[in-house]
This record gives sequence, C-alpha cells and structure tokens, in this order.
Amino acid sequence: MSATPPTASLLREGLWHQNPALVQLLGLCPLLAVSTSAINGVGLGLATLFVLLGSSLAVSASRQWVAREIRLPVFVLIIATLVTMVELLLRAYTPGLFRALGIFVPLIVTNCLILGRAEAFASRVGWRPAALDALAMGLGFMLVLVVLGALRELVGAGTLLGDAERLFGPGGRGLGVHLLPGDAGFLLALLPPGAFIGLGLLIALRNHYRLRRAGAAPAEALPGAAPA
Amino acid sequence: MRQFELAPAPHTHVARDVTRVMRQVLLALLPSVLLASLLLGIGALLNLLLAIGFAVLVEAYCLRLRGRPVWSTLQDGSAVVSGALLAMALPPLLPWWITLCGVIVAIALGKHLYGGLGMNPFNPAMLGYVVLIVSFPVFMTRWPDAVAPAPGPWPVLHYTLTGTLPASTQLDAITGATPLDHLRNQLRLAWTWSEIRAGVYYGPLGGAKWQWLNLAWLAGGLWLMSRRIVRWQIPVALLAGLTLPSLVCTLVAPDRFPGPMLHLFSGATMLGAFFIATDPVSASTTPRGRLIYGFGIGVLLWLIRSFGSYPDAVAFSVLLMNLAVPLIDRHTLPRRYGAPRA
Amino acid sequence: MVEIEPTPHRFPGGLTLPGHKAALQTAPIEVLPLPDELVLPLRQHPGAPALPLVAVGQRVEAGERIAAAPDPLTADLHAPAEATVVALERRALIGAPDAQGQCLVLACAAPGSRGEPPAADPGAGAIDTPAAQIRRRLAAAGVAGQGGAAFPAATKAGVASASQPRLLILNGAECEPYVACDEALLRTGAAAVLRGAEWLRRAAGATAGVIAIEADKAAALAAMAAALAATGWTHWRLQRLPVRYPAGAERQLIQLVTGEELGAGRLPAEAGIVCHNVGTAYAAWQALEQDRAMTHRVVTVTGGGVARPANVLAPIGTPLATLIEFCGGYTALAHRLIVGGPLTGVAVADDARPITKGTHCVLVAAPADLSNPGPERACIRCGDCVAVCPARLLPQQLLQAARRDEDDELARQRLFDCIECGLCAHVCPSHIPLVAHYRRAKALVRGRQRDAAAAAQAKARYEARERRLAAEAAELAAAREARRPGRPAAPSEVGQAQDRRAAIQAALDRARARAQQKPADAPPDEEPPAS
Repeated sequence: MSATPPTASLLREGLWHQNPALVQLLGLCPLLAVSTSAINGVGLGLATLFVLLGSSLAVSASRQWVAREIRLPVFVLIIATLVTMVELLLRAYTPGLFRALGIFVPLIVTNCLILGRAEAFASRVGWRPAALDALAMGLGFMLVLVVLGALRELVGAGTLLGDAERLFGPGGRGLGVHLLPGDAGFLLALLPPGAFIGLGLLIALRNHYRLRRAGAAPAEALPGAAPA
Repeated sequence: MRQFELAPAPHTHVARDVTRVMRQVLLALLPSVLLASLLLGIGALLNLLLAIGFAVLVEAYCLRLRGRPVWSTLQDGSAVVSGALLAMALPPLLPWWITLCGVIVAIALGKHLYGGLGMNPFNPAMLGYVVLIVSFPVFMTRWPDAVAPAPGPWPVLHYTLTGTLPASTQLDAITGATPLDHLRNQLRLAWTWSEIRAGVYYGPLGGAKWQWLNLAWLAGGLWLMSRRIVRWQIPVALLAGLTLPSLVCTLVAPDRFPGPMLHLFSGATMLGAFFIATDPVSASTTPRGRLIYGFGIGVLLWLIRSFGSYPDAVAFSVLLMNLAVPLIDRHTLPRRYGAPRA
Repeated sequence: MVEIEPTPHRFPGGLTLPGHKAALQTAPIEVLPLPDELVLPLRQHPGAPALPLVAVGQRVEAGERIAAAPDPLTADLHAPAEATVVALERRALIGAPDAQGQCLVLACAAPGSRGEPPAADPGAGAIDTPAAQIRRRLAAAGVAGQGGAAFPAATKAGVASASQPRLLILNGAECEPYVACDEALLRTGAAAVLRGAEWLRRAAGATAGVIAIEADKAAALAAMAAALAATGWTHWRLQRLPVRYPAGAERQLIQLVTGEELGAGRLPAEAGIVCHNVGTAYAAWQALEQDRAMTHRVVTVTGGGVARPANVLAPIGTPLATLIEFCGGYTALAHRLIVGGPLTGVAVADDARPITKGTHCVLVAAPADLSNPGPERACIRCGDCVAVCPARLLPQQLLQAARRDEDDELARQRLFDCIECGLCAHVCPSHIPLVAHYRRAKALVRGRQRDAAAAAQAKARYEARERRLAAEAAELAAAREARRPGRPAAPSEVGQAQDRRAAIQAALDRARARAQQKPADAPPDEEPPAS
C-alpha cells in the first residue's frame, strides 16, 4: 500500500461502512453466542478489541521479517499469545464474566475478523494505520456486541446492565436497571433464535437508514446485507 | 368499427375467491370459539377479538411499511384468519400484551418478512404460538382447570387487561391441569393408563372439556371439507399418522401408552388437523405430498406428546413439517402426462 | 340402430362447466348473405403465408384458387364468391392485440345474395378412391382443420398414413361453453359429416373410426346414430363423451377414447391415431363429393352482447362486424369481443377483423358472461388448479417458476406440457391470470432456445472454419516439405503456384501462432510441422 488512508476515513470504515458485524458479517459465532447482556457484550468486545489491537500492531511491526510463506502461522501464534493473556487476565480479575463468556474467550483465536485484518491490512501498512484500523474495527465490533447485548437483555430479561458486577465487581451492582416486572421477559430474545432475529433487525435497520440517506428504492429491492 | 377492451383468456372465472374462503374458515371456527368460552371461560372469545384486532393492525402497518395497497390487501382476510387461529391455540387466561407479541411474531416476522401472503414457509399462527410458549412458559402453560367450572368473566377480564387477578381471586383457584398435562404427570408418577383413565380428567372420548372442543373442531372441519375448502388428504393423513403409532403402542404396552381415542380427542388435535395443518400456503401442494405432510405431522404429534417435553405439540409438529415441504414437493411431483405408470 | 357407447376411459383433472348452448341446440344453420367485402388473410395456418395468385383489379370466380400454399403446413386459399380483387394490403387480424398480416381484399360481385345452399343429398355408396388421390383433392380444395389451428387436412392425413394408423377419431366434443357450430352441423348434416369422415379415414389409411360426441348433445348423437345405421358401416363406432372440459382437446380426447396418454413430445400419429374435427369432415365431404373448395364455414355467434345468437354459415373472410350485424347487432350489454370460446378464445380490440378457416365462435360477451374476476391477489397455494389441470401439472409451482423465469425450474415443472386450456386461471380464487404467465414464459424460453441454437450454430461454423484452415495449412506445409531440395525437381506450374501459396500460408501461420496463442485442444496432427 502506497498511500496511507486518513484517520477519519479509517474510523468511519470500521465503525460504519465496513462494520465487521453488520456489513462484513465476520466473527458472528461469538457475537451471536455471548450477546445475551450488555455487560457480556462489553466484556467480549473489550477482549476482542485488545487482541485485535495487539495483533495488528505486532503483525505490522514484524511485517518486514516475516516470510510470506509462513505468515499465517506467525499471525496465529501472535493472536494466540494475546488471547492467552486476555484469558488469564479475565480469569484473574473478572471470574464472573469469564464464566459467562466461557469458551468464547479462547475462541477469539479463531475469530476471522482478527486474522482477516492481520492478513488484509496490518501486514501491508505501517503500525500507525494498522493500530487505527484495529481500533476502529474492534470498536465497531464491540458496538454491535453491546447494542445487541443490551437489546436482548432488555427484551429478554427486562433489565439493563443487570449483571454489571461481573465486570465491575460488587461496586457495579447498583448500576443495573430493572425495567420490566420479574417474569415478564420475552425469553426468546435470550435464546439463540433471539440472537439471529436481533442481528437481522440491526442489519435491516442499518440498511433502512443507509437507503433513506441514499434516497434509493424501497427496502424490498435490497439484495440483503451481504458483504460487497 | 366498434372498439372493445382486451383481456387474457380465460374469460370466465369461478365465484370462489380468497376472501370468501377465509370467511368460511372463520365461520367454521365460530362454534368452537363459543364452546370454548362456555367451557374454559370468556377468555377464549376475548383472545379471539384481541388477536384479530391486533392482527389487522399489524398487517396494515406492515403493508404500509412495504408500500403495498393496505385496504385492498387487508380484504383478503388472511390476517384475520391467522389471528383467529393463534387465538384458538392460546390459553384463555392471558395478559393482552402476550397476545400482541404473538401476533407481531406471526404477522410481521412469520409472514411479511418472507414477502407476505403466499410466500411464508411457516404457518404464521403456529410460529407466533411457538415463540410465545418458548418465551413465556409460565403464562402459556396456565390453563383453566379441566374439571373445575370455568372462571367467571370478571377475573378473566381483569387478568387479560392488567396481568393480575382482582384481589378476591386466587390464581390457583381458577387454573389447573389440562388433561394432557395430567396424563403426563401421572405417567411420570408411574400410574398406569387404565388407572389414570378412570379419573375425572377423562370423558367418554378424550380429555374432559377438550373432547367437546375437539368435536366442535371436527364438525367445523367436516363442513369445510364438504365445501371443498379443505381437501381430505391432510386431515385424514394427520389423523392416521396419530392413530397408527398410538394404536400399535397401546396394544404392546397398554399401561404406558394411551390409545388413539385420547390422542384424537384431546389437546388441539382436531384444530390442528382441519384448521392449522391445512393452511395451504405452508403445506405441501401435491396430492401425494399432502398425504406425506399430514402423516408426518400426525406421527410427530404422537412422538412429542409421548416422549417430548411438552404436553401438546401441534405447533411444533406443523412447523417441523413446514420445514420439510419443499423437499416433499420436489419428490412428489405428479406423474408426467404421458409418462409410463411407475 | 347403432349403439352409442360411453367412452371407457377418463382423463385427469377437467371440470364440468355450464354449457350456455341451449339457445343454439335446436336452431337451424343460417346462411349469411354475401357481404360487400371479404378480407382473406394469407396467413391462416401454422405454415408460411400463402402466395397470392391474383393481381389487384383482377376478377375471380367463386371457388377460384387465389393463393397457393408455399409449404405443407399451409393450405390453398379460394375465393368464396365471384368478386374483384381490390387490394393486397396489411390488415388487423384476430390474435395478439397488434396482430396484422397481408390480406387479399375482395369486393363481391353480388353482395346480398345467398349463394348456393348446401346440397341436401349426402350421397351414398362405398368410398374406394386411392388415398393419395383423396389427399390431392383435399389439398386442392384447401381443406383445413376447423377446430382452431387450421392445420391442412391433406398434410395431416399424409403424415398419419405413413404410420398406418389404426384409428380415426372424429372430434365432435365441442367441450367449450357457448360454442355450438359442430353440433349444428351434426344435427343437420350428420350423413354428410359421416361421409366426409369416411373420406378422411381413407385418406389417412386408418382401419377404423370413432365418432366422439359429448353427452349433452342428444340430438347430434341421435342424428349420427341414424346416419351410421343408414350406411351400415361396421368399422365406425359412436361414442358418448363425458361432459367435462377439455374433452375435446386432442390428447384428452385420445385418452378418453383409447385410454392412452399421449405425452407432450409425441404426435397422435405415433400412437396410430388421427383426429379430425366435425367441420373438417363436412368440408372434406364438400370437397370430394360436391367439388367445392373450403370457402365457407359455420360460425357460432353468441353471448349476451349479441341480439340474436345463431349458427351462421359464412364465407371465410367475413368481417366480425358483418356477422354480428346479421345476428341483430350488439345489445347494450356488449362488453368484450372474444373470438373462440370463453376459456381459450382471444379478445380482440375491434370488430373489423375477418374470420378465418379456424374461427369457430364469435362470443360477444356481456358482463354476466364473464364473471368479473375481481382484483388479483397473492397465490395461497390452495391447489384448486392442481385438481383441474388435465395435463397433471402443478400450476401454482409453474407460476412461481414462470415469475422467476428459470429455465431449469420451468423444465422441471413441464412448462411445455401445458395445453393452455385455461382451467387453472378459471378456478383460481386469487384471480391470477396463470395462462397469460405461461404464454409469456413459453415465448421467453423459445426465444432463449432460438438464441442458444443460433449461438451453437455460429460456434460450430467458426470451429469448422478453424479446422479447415488448419488442415489446409498442414496439407500445404506437407507439400512443401515434400519438395525440399534433394527431392526430384521440375515441379509443374501449378505446383510452383502451390509452393508459393504454401510458403505464404506457412508464414501466415507462424505469424498467427505468434500473435495469438493457438487453441490448446487442436489435434497435434493438424499442427503445421515446425520448419
């Protein structure tokens, strides 16, 4: 890559135009599985952001020395190291959250978003744009995780940040808000189908907004939210 | 020289149209609604009115969102029928907002997301019902007791509108087990079917109260069949698919498995056989395919009732077979005209 | 008396429709006075347009041949009356809304005259003319099918005779509502129709014959039974068809009579069967025993939009307006002008268009005849169409395939098995014009098939040319190789010329090989040897 894209455009790409969850549809497996509450979303989002940022920096910095033929194992090694660190940190400081996220923390290694950014972007540019891109993509991913998590928590359990102590310790207990009476939650939202329906609605909403801005044909003419 | 309008052939048409078909389905449903209100409380009628009203509103809103003609499409009556069928499946003691949730799922997610009437792969009413029973298991399993007298209109109305009962009434006093619930629990407690059968929860045909409801649905269904609105294949195959395994098992192990009569006249069997499985949009369209489709629902119904974790299973069975319809249709194309008989 | 047997078989689907024929079931055939002008389309048949044999301004006699068939799928055209050719021009025709075609326009010499009435005596005696001679005379008289498609009778008989058919079926089903012209012919001229059918049977070489008439035509059945008894022919049988549309469609009729299902790819002749329409038989009788060309036909003019419905014997080329005027003109209810029956007929935009040899019915429909379908709604897959489809299709699935316009799915749903009987759209509770969708899909698929065939042909030509060029180059290079120094000298002049050409060719080849990469799949022995 010769020209480095400007900062603002990198941020816009990651958060909106090329949002990893809503447009590229990458990393959906952990996204759908753990987004049962906003706090879970924040937790996994932060972990992914950390790994993405670290791996992008490392990949970009080491791109001169890594032979093309073995780049993928090297990327995986870097990512796996970072994931192990995150896993140990989570286990040490937020055991509740770690239990809630379960297998999806170690599985960050396999999140195609991270490997994808390393291969497609970080390994071709300097560390500054690589870090910016990782930040933007990680934030975009986290944003969807949090929104979807909050949505599902709200609809499914009637609370918001109801399990904040998982992330913030006992001090976070007061943060939760109960909006619906006890057993009135729309349980489906917390079950796997709820994740799919919720994500589908978010994608539809994004398309709707984009089309409204573009002044294009009604939503039914859309081919869907498939990545370009 | 005189000018005339143009139109494609054929130039004649039968009088039947979709609107009239839907109206007759509603008509056939009416006696059972009235009977249900009598046996299980005014909630049945209340649910029906609420669900139909919500269904029309949601349908109108979705049509507007999709830029379709609202008024003329509403007149096809499909939303009213979907609402009515959902209402028939709901317990007659349900806060209004749960009904609304079910209707939104049925009409908006179940029908319009797929492209509107005729394009939905799943039966919208059953989709709504399944989402409700998965999401609100407590509310959705709270039925008026099958042997106690029906709850009075005031507590039901209060409960429907507010989600709570008036202070003078206890929830336990007006709710209880349905015959299929009762059967399940007693079988788990290692009672034999003949012992359970002797209890108050069963009448000459099937479950108390429910046998009469099933008779009403059967009558309505037969009337629809006589008007050729419902074809015989699906109901007959469904009832056969339910009868056959239950008959075999009750002959082999009469203590553990109730006979076909109980299955036929309990739960929502007849409603499912004549009104729900026969929804043409989500059913198989080939004559042979309809037999397979109906039979599959019957067998699944028996399997889930006997071994699954829900007491009744019309909705699950119908949705599962809906899923199989494209496959069934593809493999049951009629023999091509002129092709040798296989 | 001859026994009227019920047909022993059934066809799938079908529907009993209200007949709307009562008024015409007792009325006689009325003879139309000659109109001022007759408009004879040159294209009335499946084949190419007929070639006019007369010039504008020329006077023609009644029965004179005025246009010749260029191929066996077209029949000769004859003048219905003494007249003057006043024009050869394009006129609007029956068919698609914008259908047009070259027409011979005749000004009749004696408008208003009734012409000769049909002869009363049908004739008698055995028919033993050789088949080929009968076919020649049928062709000379321009006899063509009167059931709709106007396929030349001589060609049909000729094709059938090649396969030595076992059965000729005389199609008197007339299953479509309102249409009653065949029935009128049967009632009033059963003996002539029977003799015509016998001529056609001999022309095709069929060993036996069946006359098939729908059960609701009691008078026609009785008349034919009497005619058959009078002849004493034992190789003819008379069968009563169920009143079930479309019993008169060729394949369904064959199934009713013989039980055999004739798939879409097979011709009746392949099953040893040939079918002719009642009107065609009558025309054959006229051609062979009265020596009259097929210049007239019986047309049913009916419907709530015409004052006095009637079966009219009219010259081919009569404008629709003249026919309707003869029948008392339009009523206030006239709403749609349909040529053909209500299920398969085409609506036409105006009444100036002329009838052809295949026009059996003019339906001036009042709103009550049409049962206004109401707005089109979504298909709810109710399956009513499946129950009535006589071709055993799944019309609602076919509709989806047609809307998506996918060749594979259309083939799987057997688009071309559809006989366009119209029943699916007739019963559709959502009022979807299914047949119109199928016609459109058929046209699109045919267009694509034509394009694909043309492309394949172009590709084959191109490849053949490449092969030929490569072969020539190889040959010349080999010749040059043979004349290398050290070989016997003294090549002829021709040889020298060839040598020069070979050198040029080889150079060209080398250049071409360098310029564009040779196709890898060219056979090695056709490669020019390296020099």
